[in-house]
Amino acid sequence: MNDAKKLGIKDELKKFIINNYLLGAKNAKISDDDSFLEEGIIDSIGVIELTNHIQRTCGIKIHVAEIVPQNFDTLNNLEKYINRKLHSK
Amino acid sequence: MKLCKTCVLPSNFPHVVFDNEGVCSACRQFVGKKRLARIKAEYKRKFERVIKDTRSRHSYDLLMCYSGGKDSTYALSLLKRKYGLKILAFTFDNGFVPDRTYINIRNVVEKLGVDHIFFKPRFEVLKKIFNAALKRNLYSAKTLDRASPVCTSCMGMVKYSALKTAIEKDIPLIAFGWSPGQAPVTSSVLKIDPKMMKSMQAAIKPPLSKVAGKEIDGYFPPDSYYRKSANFPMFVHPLELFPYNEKKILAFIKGLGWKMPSGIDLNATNCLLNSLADEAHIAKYKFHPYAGEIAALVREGYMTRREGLAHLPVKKSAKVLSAVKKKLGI
Repeated sequence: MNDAKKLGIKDELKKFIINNYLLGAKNAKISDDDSFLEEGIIDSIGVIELTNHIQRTCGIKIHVAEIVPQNFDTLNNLEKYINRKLHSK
Repeated sequence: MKLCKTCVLPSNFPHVVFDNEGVCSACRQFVGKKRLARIKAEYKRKFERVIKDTRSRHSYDLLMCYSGGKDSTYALSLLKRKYGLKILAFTFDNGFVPDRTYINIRNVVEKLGVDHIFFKPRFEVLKKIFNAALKRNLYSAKTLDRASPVCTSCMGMVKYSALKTAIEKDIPLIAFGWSPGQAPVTSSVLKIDPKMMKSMQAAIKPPLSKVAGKEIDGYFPPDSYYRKSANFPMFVHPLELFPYNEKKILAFIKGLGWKMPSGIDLNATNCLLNSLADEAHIAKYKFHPYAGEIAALVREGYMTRREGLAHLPVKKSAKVLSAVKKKLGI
């Protein structure tokens, strides 16, 4: 899990999203409840890239049926979803 | 600025770092050709299962987003000839389709025996969008790695107008002719939850609405289309799953009556606007909008580095550029 272990899941995902989708801009901010779908931060290919990143860094398998807004729309939702997956492993 | 010694990524490409040997982080992190081949084989099996499960249950098996360019022409022929699907080919006419492309489209759909429709939005709407996208990025910063804002605008309208058409005509699959470098292999067979698809529309529709107002509403599925999860179309991009060789593709589609239009480059064999969009992108962001795609094709072994490098200078025709600018009022 590398960075995910060092930083914690939410902070690692925040870093990934800021670096990749907000180009690491110095003033780039994303709060834990910001909807990165509704705010247009991540598009359809972005969701697939994010899914691949989570699978790689957290060591979980994400099924397509689980790629839904209630799991993927905010950092808080993503963290809850990943923790559920990690605990059910 | 230096280029990766293995692929063709420039050192100023977003998020990429170079090591002491001059190799980029994308190449260092690449899973390798063998592992990639295994993933592709897994997705090809998924693709063929999906084809088997959906075939002959609807008036059309698949809606093909058919630009008339070389890749979508090849994808269309694969889907028709190898899998025998009943296909509706769908062309989004952005106002910059070369004359020769119209002939190519007619030749190819007649030769393959597929139904075909054009969707041509009013040019006054497209003109507003393209002019804005030439001046600034309208979308998430990450989209700049994959395409110019002009191309992202077009692709967004293509994707959602195709989705709207597929839902209206009850077509279970939507296909794109993306090259293997254009999207992750894990997106080559993709069932997206309708609510997720509606949420993702937020990445493209509001930025377009800001520029063109309600004029663009008709290009997107209304909210009610996302309420039904049964029979919501799946997305596939099959070129990811088959051998991809540009020279062989060009030779093959010649047999379908396809000829290279003049005044365009190999990166977009269906669009006269592309060179201007590439120039604007390079001037503003200092890297070629196709660098990521071409680098991936080189890294994954579909193209030699030399062939990749040949794709990166913007090949422009002064006559075409002047006509395009005139049409856009620049």
